[in-house]
Order: sequence, then C-alpha cells, then structure tokens
Amino acid sequence: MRLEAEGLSWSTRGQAIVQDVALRVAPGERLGLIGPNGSGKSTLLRMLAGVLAPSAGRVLLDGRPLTEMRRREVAQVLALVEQQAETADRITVRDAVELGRTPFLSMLRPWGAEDDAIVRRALDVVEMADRSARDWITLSGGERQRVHIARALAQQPRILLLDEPTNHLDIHHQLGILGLVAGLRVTTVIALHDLNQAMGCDRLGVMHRGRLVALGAPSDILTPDLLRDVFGVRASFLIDPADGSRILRFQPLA
Amino acid sequence: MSHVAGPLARLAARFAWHAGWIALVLAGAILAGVCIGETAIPVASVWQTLANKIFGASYAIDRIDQGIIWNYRLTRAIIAACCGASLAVSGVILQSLLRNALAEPYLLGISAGASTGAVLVTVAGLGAGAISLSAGALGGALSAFLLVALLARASGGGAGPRAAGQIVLAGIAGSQLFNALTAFIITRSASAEQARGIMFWLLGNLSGARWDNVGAAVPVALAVTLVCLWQARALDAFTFGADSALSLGVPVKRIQALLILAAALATAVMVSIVGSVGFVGLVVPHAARFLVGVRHVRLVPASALIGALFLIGADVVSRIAVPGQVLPIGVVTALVGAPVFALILVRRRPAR
Repeated sequence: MRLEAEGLSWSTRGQAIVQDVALRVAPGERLGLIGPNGSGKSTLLRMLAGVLAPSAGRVLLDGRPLTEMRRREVAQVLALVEQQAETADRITVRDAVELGRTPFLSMLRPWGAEDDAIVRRALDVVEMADRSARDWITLSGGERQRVHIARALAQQPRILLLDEPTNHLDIHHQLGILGLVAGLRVTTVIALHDLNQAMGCDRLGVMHRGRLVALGAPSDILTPDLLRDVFGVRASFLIDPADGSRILRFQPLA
Repeated sequence: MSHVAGPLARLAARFAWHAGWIALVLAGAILAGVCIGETAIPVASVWQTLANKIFGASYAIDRIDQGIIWNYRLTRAIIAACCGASLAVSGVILQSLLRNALAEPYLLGISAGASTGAVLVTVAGLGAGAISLSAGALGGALSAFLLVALLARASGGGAGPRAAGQIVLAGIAGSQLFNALTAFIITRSASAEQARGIMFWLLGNLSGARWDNVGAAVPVALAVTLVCLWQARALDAFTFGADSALSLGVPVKRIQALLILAAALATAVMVSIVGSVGFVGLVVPHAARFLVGVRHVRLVPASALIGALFLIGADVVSRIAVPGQVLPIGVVTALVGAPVFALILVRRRPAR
C-alpha cells in the first residue's frame, strides 16, 4: 500500500513544528526518518498515522485522503507504535496484543478463533509467546516495546509506523527489534536516533527544524556535510575489518 | 452464513445467560433489602404484597405492612440498586477515559454540580417550572465536569502520572465551589423545611425514593450500563491512552462525548433522586477489577452488579445501624469508601 504526504504542516502557538513535508513511500519500502531532537519526526509520524490532524496538507493511502476514511478503515491497514506508550492497568501481555484486533471487531463480528490465531502469531513473531500471561507491570522496557510491536502486528497492517522503537533499550534488544522490523514484509516508516542503524533502511528522510531537508538512499544522505549541517557533528567513515562495511564515527565540531 | 450466525448466536446465548443470573441475584438482593430493617418483614408477606399489587391477588395482609413494603422499602431497594449501578458504571467510564484510577463522579465534583443544578431548579426556581429537576441536575453535572476538566488541563494535567493528582485537586476545588453554591442557594431562598434538605444534597438520602423515581432510575441505570457495555472494546482501547485508541480505529472524540454525557446524565438523575452519594464510583470498579480483571466486557456488568448490591447493603446498614434513626446513605458509603480511597493512594505509589 502506498503512503503519501502532501504539504504536511503542523504548528502550535504560532510555532511551526512541521513545515511543508511531502513524501511518498512505496509498497514494501522501509523508510527511515532521522533528525535531531525536536526536529519534528514524532509529529510527522503522528500526522502520517492520522492521530494528529495536520494544520495544512494531507496524507493519502493509495491515493485516498486519510480524512475521507473512517478511523476503523485506517486502523485496518495502518498501525502505529508510539514511543513509550504506558498504562497503569493490570493487563497481561495477551490483553495488550488483543487490542490490535479492535478495528476488526464489532457487535456483529465478535472475537473468534481466527483472532486467537492472529494474536498467537503476533506473539510468536516478537518471541513473547511464552510470556503471554505475564502482567504488563512486570515487563522490562524491551519486552514492553516488543509487545507494542506485536499489538501493531495483530492489526495485520500493510503500513507500519514506528516512533524510535529502540529508544531506552539495551543494544541486544535494539538489534532484536531492528532485525524483527527488517524481517516484516510491510511498508515501514521508522524514526531512528542511531545513524548507523538507520543505514539499514531502503531510504532515509532527514528532518531538520520541521522540514524534510533530504530524502534518498542512505549512502547519498549520510554525508559528512549533511551530518555537520543537520546534527552539528563531525563525522567520518570507518571500515569494519570484519565485513568491510562502513561505520560512522562522530566527533564534536572543532 | 452459518459461520457468521454461529458466534453471534453463542454471543446472544451468553448475554442471555449472564443477564438472567444477574437479574436473579439482583432480585434476591432487593428482596433481602425489603425484608431486613428495624422491623423485620417475613418473605411471605413480601410475596403476598407483590402478588396483590402486581397480579391483583387478594391475600389478606396488614395494610400498614403492605404500605411499608410496597411504597417504602421496595422503592428504596430498587432506587439503591439503580443508583449503585449507575454511579459504579460512571466511575468505570471516567477512570477509563481519563486514564485515572481516582476518577469518580463524586471526587470530580460532578455530583456536587448536579446538586447545585437541582437546587437551582427546585429552590431558587430557575426556569420557572420549564426546566425539570433532572435537566437542572444534568446541566449542573456537565458544567462541573467541564470546569474541573479545564482546571485540570490549565494546571498541567493531560496525560501522565502528574495529571492524576491534578484532576483530583481540580475535583476538590470544583466540589467545594459547587457545594458552597448549593448551601448558599438553600440558605438564601429556602424555607426552614428546605434548609434541612441541604443535608440531603450533601450526604445522599434514600428516604425520598418513590415509585415515580423508579420510573426514571431504572431506564437510566439500564441505559448507561448497556451503552457502556456496547462500547466495551472502545474503552479497552484507551488502555494506552487516547492516541493509542485513535490508532486502533476508535473515533475518540465521539466516544468521549457519548460516554461522558452518559456518565453525567446517569449521575445527574441519581443525584436528583438521592443527593450525592460518594465513593461508590471509586470503590466498586476497583473491587470489580480485583474480581474479574480490567477488560470492560466483564468489568462493566460486574461493576453494575456490585454497585447495585453495595448500595442495597449500604441502605440496609443505614437503616439498622442506629436504632430509631436512619443515617444518610452517603455516610455509610463514605465510611467504607474513604479508607478504600486511602488504600488505592498507597498502593498506586509510583514504583520508580
């Protein structure tokens, strides 16, 4: 499914947080969003998900404006994994994942065996099936993030939006989540902080002061010039002797 | 179509089965509420009265007993059940939508606002008879909720752990304001007779419950419970907040408007009949969560049932605790509710 944004802007109290962003994500593509703190990545993702109404511009799914679709229809094809969504309710892992079936259920379409199977598969994918009866409050940060992803997968989305899913996780779980997302066969837009991790995306979009300042293949985007202008760092490439791949190293500007 | 009709038929059967046993339990509790009192009434007399009144039978029983059963205790028990169920379900709604374990019509000042609205109509004569008592109470309830919600927002509420404190503080401010307004209106424009009514609005009292109140309370209690049950999945979807509910396909604004209106309406109708009864909306949903978990499909009916039983029980206690006196029912619920409130505060201390 194709996801497009046209002239997306959002401002609050006279301050523009996102300005005039246009992009097009092809079916099956993995687009990474990078940018400094406060550059508008989360706001852009929230608008793409239809959670936040843009001040100007529009989002289209396969050419159809999001605002013309019912919330339920949107949720049946598009899932959002927010940053650090928390609850104080005493729910289990399974309860949390079952929420993903919400857009498909109604009075006339009650929970069925098919939903059970989808929830089980989603738990399998994130390797949480053995902990499905655990209480939410007993989970670690990495486990919670995996459950959120399983909840999104239970929506069986064709587009998955993730807002810094590796935030606050240890390196083992960061790689686990990224590997998991890379293995999914859905269109993905993922906001990332770690630029080395961002190199694994098909394309990268760079947000800077609310604007999308660059969009293209990682090798074209992650240049020392751009990293200096946008992130204010001096970057150089190193070669990993193990497999010859390029790695970014950062230093403060002199 | 059989694969569609299958689960639907099962669902309908399950609904009928649960509705059936809940109705039986409620009938039993109401019967107990009628029999127990300062003068105990034998069950047989209750059956005979019901047969006389409903089916036109002609059992010979004492006219005074029959009057007490039919006009006094039965209406009390039914109103208590409706009031308990409505306030408990309103508590569930507010706790889920505000993501706040301490949200409840009484603590958020909604009951106080409803009292003020009701008093404005009955005592101060607002609307010159064109506005009904319940409509006045609804207006008061909605104004109070709006005021408290705005105050909580302005003081840095919204989502997150800090908001829990802010909305309760805003609720205290709102309750105090509206209770003061109620007292002001009554002392200013009421007769000595009505002035005693202030206790009614502040503490809750079932002694005014009559059959015409039953006609309003039963449909409202049933409606708020069924609407809430109908939206059980939407309420579940708020587990991780309103944004998460939106991304799960829930039309958040519409659901919030519908359910908060339902909670305010139910609270307003109950307050206009029995005054403000505190802590039911707080204690009962927590007890129900403890018993059946957090999923609203089970939580809503469980809360309604436990709320009804709790208030029937509280009413019995209020009638027999002090010989020769009837306590306001709000005194009994607060004596139970305040310690539970304290317990929730302590247990929900942030882990970090």
